[in-house]
Amino acid sequence: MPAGIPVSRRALLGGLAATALPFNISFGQGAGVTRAIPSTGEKLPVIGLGSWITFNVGNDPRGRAASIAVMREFFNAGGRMVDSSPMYGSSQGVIGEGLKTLAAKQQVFSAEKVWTSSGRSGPQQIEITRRHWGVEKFDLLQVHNLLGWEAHLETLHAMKAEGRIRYIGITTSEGRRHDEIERIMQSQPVDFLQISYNVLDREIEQRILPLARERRIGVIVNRPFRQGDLIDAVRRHPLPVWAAEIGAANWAQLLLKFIVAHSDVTCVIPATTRTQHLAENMGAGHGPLPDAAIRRRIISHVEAL
Amino acid sequence: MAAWSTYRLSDFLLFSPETYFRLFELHNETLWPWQVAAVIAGLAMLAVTGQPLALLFAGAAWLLTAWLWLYERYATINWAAEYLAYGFALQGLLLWFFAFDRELQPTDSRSRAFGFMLVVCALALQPLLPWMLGRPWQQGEVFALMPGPTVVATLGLLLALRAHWLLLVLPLAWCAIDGATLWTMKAPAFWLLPLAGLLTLVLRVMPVKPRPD
Ligand SMILES: NC(=O)c1ccc[n+]([C@@H]2O[C@H](COP(=O)([O-])OP(=O)(O)OC[C@H]3O[C@@H](n4cnc5c(N)ncnc54)[C@H](OP(=O)(O)O)[C@@H]3O)[C@@H](O)[C@H]2O)c1
Repeated sequence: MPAGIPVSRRALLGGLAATALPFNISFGQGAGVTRAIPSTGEKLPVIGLGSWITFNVGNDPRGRAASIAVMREFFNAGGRMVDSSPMYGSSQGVIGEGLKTLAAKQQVFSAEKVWTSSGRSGPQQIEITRRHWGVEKFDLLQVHNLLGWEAHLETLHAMKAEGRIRYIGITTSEGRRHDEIERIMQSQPVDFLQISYNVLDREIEQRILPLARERRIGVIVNRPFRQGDLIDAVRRHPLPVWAAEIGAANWAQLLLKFIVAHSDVTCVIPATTRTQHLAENMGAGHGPLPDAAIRRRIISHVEAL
Repeated sequence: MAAWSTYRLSDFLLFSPETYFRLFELHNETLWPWQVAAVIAGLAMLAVTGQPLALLFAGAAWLLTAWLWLYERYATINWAAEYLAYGFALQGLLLWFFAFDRELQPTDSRSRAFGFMLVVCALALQPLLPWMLGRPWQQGEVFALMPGPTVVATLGLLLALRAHWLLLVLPLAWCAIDGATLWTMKAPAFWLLPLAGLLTLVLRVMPVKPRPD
C-alpha cells in the first residue's frame, strides 16, 4: 500500500463487509485492485494513466524527463493502462521514449486511438502512432470522439481478426454524444467504451453503464478530475474525516475511489505531470472501496462544497 | 463533419501554459545570439516606418517566424502549427509583393503616430513582457523570431502606410488566435494582441482627417 493510508484490520474488514463489492473485482497480493475486462476476463489495475496535455512537452528535455519520471512511478506502482491519441501532440513520442527507457513494453497495456475523419487514412495514422510508441502492436485501439467511426470500426475489426490488436473501443467526453454512443454500443461489438464520469458528472449511470454491463463492454473513465478543475475546487476544503474509512488519504483518492467503486467501471485514467500526484492517484487503487452508502455521502458532500 | 462541431475551444489547447511558455525559452536558447541581429533589423525597420521599404523587413520577419517558430518549434507541441506556418509564409510573401505597390501612401499623422508606437511596443516592450508578468525573462518574444512582436510591428507598419487591406487579414487573424490561446490558458495579458488588432482596425476604418496645411 504505497500511498493508501493503512486502515485498521477491523475497519478494513468492516469496510469490506459493508461494501457491495462488484463480482469482477479482486485484490492482488500487495498489488492494487484489479477489474476484469468483460469480454475476456483479463484483469487490469483500476488506475491507469492519461496523457492529454500532460505529456505533450515537445522536445523539451526537462519536460520529457518529468513525463518519464511520472511513467516510472506509474509502472513501479503496478500500473498498466496508458492512454493516448494522435490528437495529443508529442505525447505519443514521449510515451514511446518512456517505455523504452523504463523497459516497460511488456507491462504496459497500450490504449491508443484513431482520430481522423477519413476512413482511408486510418491505417496509416495507426502505423505512425505505433512507431511513436515503438511497440509491436496495441492492446486497445479506440475511435477517438467517434470521428469517422463507421469506417474506423471496420478497420479495427479487421486488425483484431488478424491479431494486430487485442481490443476495440470508442471514446467520447461529450455529454451530447451519449445517444450516439448508446446506438453504437447496441449495434457494434466493441470491447471498451471510454467516457467521462466523476462525482459531479454522473449521467452515464442512468443508461450507459447498465448497457455496458448488459453488452459486456469495459468502461474506461476519462476526465475524472474534470481536467483538474474538480480537484482544484475540492482541495480548498478539508478532507472529510470519514474518508479514512475507505482508505482515502487525500481528495484525489476520494474522487477516484468513488469512480472505481462503480462495478461497471473497468478503470480510470487520470493524467498528471507530477510524481507526487501520480502516487496519490495510484493509492486510490488500494484498500477498500466505498459502498453505495458512502458513495452517496461523497456525492452530497462534494455537491454541498 | 458534424463530429467536429462538438469540440470546444479548450479541446484544442493541447499543452499546458508551462510547456507553451517554456517553448519560448528553448527557442531563445537555441537561437542565441541571433536575437541581436533581429533587434538591429527591427531598429532599421523602425527608422523607415511609413516607407514601403519597411514592408520588406516585415515580410522577412514573417517568413523567418513561419520557418523557425511555427514549423520548427511550435509544431513540436501543436499539430496545427504546420498550417499556421503556411499562413505566415504567405503573409511574408504578400508583404514583399505589396512593398512594390505604386499606390502605397503614408497615412495621416495620427495613424502614423499610432503605427510608430506599435512598432516601438513590439521591439521594446513585448520582449520584456514575461519579466513584467513574473515569468523568466528568457521567455521574451523577439521581433522576427517569434509571432507576437512580428505581428504587432506589422500592424504598426500597416497603420503608417495605407497598404492593401488584404495585408491586414492574417495579422488580425493571428491576434484572435493568440488571444484565444492565452485566454483558454487563463494567462494574463491575453488581451494584448486583440487590443492591438482592434486599435489598428478602428484607425483604419475611421475617416482620415484632412491635413491642416
Ligand atoms: N475523447 C477522449 O478520448 C478523451 C477525452 C478526454 C480525456 N481523455 C483521456 O482521459 C485522460 C484523463 O482526462 P484529462 O487529462 O482530460 O483530465 P483529468 O485526468 O480529469 O485531469 C487532469 C488534471 O488533473 C490534475 N491532477 C491529476 N492528479 C492530481 C492529483 N492527485 N491532485 C491534484 N491534481 C491532480 C493534473 O494536474 P497536475 O499535472 O498538476 O497533476 C491535470 O491538470 C486524458 O489524459 C486522456 O488520456 C480522452
